[in-house]
Amino acid sequence: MTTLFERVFVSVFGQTGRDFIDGLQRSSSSLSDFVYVKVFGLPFIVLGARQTGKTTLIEWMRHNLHELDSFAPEPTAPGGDSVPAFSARIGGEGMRLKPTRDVGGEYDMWETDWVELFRVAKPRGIIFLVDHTDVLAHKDALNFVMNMIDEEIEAKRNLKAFLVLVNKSDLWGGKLSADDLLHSYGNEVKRLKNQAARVGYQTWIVGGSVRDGVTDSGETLTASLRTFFNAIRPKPR
Amino acid sequence: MPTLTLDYVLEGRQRGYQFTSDTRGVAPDQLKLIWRNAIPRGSAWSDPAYRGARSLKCFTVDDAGAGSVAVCDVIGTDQVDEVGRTGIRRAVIQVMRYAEYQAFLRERLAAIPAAVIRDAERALYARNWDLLLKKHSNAVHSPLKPQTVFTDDYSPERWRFVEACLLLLVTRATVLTNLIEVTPKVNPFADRALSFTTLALDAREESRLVAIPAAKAAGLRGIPVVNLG
Repeated sequence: MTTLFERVFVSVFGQTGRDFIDGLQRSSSSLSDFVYVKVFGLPFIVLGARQTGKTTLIEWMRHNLHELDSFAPEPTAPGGDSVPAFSARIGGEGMRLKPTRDVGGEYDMWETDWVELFRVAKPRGIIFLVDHTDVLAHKDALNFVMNMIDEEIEAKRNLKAFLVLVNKSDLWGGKLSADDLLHSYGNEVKRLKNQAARVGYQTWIVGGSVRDGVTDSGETLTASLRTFFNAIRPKPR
Repeated sequence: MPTLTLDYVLEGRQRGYQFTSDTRGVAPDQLKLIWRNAIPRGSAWSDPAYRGARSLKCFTVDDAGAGSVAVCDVIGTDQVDEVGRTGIRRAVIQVMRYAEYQAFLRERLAAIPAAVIRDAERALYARNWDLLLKKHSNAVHSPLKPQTVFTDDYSPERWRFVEACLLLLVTRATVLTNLIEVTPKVNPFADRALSFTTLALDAREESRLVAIPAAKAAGLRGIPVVNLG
């Protein structure tokens, strides 16, 4: 969509004016991309029901996506913990990431900590974790997040991507596939895709293990995260 | 006023942290504030050194009229959840009017042995300038509401002394208190009740006065600390 200024500028200067404006827009987009990716950090949030690995995922990213041998997560207390922006090497590129807070996944935290985090962070992306246990709790949590996106008009404005990570494939991978696990989530997946089309964000579902850093298809989890973070940067790649 | 319990539930359909006591009688906004702030910040509570560790955390929940303060008595438990996680804490929260709160603080201070209080007074007097200068060089907090972070080597016995230092400061029992915050009668920006936490593992988003173990202070960037050791 062109502004009145652009139309006037192009009508006065013709093709040269158009090229100038296009160049200006490209430079501004590149500058914004640089500022987000290298300076302030890409705002994203990590949500999911309790015990799905949110704290471990954030810690793994903070450790530059290296294996977490000795990390022993604790249940995240009400209110969560602040996570300052940090740098990580995602698929060969150094990126500054800003998850804002690590929040717990208990039911009582959804209305309080999740909504508050969503409002404060105004994230460009959401990573939502589920695992092979307690399907009902994960479905409730996913539906809650989709409702929250619908209701929080201001906070969802920047949302560009929603990654569902079916975590802990090291525990379910031998017996099941991510598709088997997601069979029970038919309505939720359909709703997520509809919302993505309506709100204008991209969505993916990936099975994998944060502990091992791999997806259930044998690729590295880093590749999935690279796709996610490239989608939420101001100049998507 | 009601007493609330914030506990980690290991049985039933909804598990994890939740209020296990009746929350009727507490306004929803106040309940949210208590939920978010009752438990001291930081991770590594699963470290054996902090099992059974106690923290007193107090903050204002209602500044209007008679005002009220949440007094949170928090303990590191030895609970283990279904997937083997530890570092679980339990908080018992009393919501008190300001007048009751002042009496509570005085009682709490009086329960500490006199020798420990004398040590605490000496330690605070010796750190006058530290207290005054370091709070204002705290880049993270606003100059109007600066945060003062205290550190010491953690041990349950040593933390009696640290608790005494904080209680002395908040009860305004010493002249030094004015270095932390001038009374609301003089300073319109002063808090009616200065929030404090006697033990947290991270100072970020914590009370105006917070004590953290020296081992945890290394991770604080841009936050000056007053060493009580």
